[in-house]
Amino acid sequence: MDVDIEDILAELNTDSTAVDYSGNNNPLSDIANTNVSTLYNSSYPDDKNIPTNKNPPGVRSNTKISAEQDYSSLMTLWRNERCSPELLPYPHHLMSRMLMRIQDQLERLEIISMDFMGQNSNTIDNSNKPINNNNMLPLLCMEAELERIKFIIRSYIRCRLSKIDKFSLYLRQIEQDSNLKSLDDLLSKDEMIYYQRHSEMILKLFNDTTLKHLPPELQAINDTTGTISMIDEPDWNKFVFIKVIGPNDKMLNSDPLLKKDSNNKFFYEVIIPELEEDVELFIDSIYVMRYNVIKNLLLDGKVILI
Amino acid sequence: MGYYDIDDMLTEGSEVPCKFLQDIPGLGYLENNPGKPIKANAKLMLPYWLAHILAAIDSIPLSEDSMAVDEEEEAVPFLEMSTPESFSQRVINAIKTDPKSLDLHSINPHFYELAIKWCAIYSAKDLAKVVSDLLLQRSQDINNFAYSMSTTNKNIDSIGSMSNNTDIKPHNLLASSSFLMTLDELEKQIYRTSHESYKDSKRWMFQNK
Repeated sequence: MDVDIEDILAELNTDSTAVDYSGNNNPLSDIANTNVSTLYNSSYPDDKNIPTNKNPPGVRSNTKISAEQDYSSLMTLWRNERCSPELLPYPHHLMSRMLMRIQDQLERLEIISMDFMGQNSNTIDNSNKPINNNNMLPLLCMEAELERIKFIIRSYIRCRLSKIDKFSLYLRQIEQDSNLKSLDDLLSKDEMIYYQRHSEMILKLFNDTTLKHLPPELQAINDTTGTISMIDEPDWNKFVFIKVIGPNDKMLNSDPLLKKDSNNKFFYEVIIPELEEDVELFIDSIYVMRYNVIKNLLLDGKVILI
Repeated sequence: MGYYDIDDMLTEGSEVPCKFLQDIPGLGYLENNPGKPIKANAKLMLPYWLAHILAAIDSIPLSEDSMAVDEEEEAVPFLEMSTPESFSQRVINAIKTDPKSLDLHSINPHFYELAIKWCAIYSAKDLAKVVSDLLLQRSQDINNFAYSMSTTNKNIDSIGSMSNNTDIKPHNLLASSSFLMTLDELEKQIYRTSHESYKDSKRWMFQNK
């Protein structure tokens, strides 16, 4: 007789002091209820830059934040931002953590390289024998890693800036419509400044060169009543490649949107409004799909763009 | 198709045959004789951006002479657009027979975009079907020509500048360039992007720089 003891084994395998995975660990939605300073503290012991975990395991924080985790969610955000037609919300907490880590790592690199300088001057004084326990490889790796992360962040922000350029009038419309989501969630502080100054400058240029010569009813730069709307909205129907990854905690049964088909495969059901057609998006498969159809799934982190 | 889209502006500049349904004073300069009124049933070519709005406006009275115009006349639009040469039966038949050998560029450089607009205002389902088939058929050829690029490493750099859209291989040159001349502007853009991406990925695979 077969006794299925998988559950018992799994329970034994999970350490009683382990991280609580059922918490809010969605990489795409920032943890909203914890402020930055507590994030700083909670992320610090997990930071890979610190070699030993000083805290005993019992007092570890419940939210799963690690440098590795943050990096992979940054990569996801970067890919989504590059492929999506609209401007996605800015990950305030994630970016503040990443920027803080870069700062820390830069300082650490400087300290370590200062150590090397000291070592080198000593060894030149003494003899020419090579130092085995102090090779440069970790330093090189750290530098290269830092450059890679900085590249991702730069590219991410540049991509967002180009979208802000493109949709500045549309963003203004959002700003004026108070019932829509506020711009503070969408943009970071620096992007906000950029957006305001840049649209001011563009407006000034247009006003001074052409608009002031036109009759007053044609002077508006965001006229939507004419034959063509002057406000460029994001192309909501743009086709994007998506990969369905499912809920982040991998608890397939707990997701209310997931359904099961006859082959025991999980899928999301979405409806394309124009064709009135239901599409089943199976987990781990790749589709070419209209953006507005999968927008909600994307914001929940259940699909990623590729 | 945004407001600042240059191709969109060029598309709307293409002319459409129109017939006026009303006498309008002062508009004679559209017929190149300013100062005179335009007569009903006058036929002339107007750019699309002007024609489509005049064909749509009917019941809105002009503010100055709303008193003068009768109630019955107001229901008539200013003009009527007739099917442009680009979508005439002759062209439709040519599309249906052989989409790939059609010289779309000589019919209208902005064929597709105009077709989209035309379908949108008249909800012409037949035309939409024909044009979407056309694009599908031609996109296969576009893909072939975008892909068929010399794989020899030394030549990849020489086509690095995309100023010449043609293949570098001599025996391909004739075929592809004559094909490229028949593409309309939308297809050229598709060709350019797909060619670029094929070229870049090949360069990345075969050249270590």
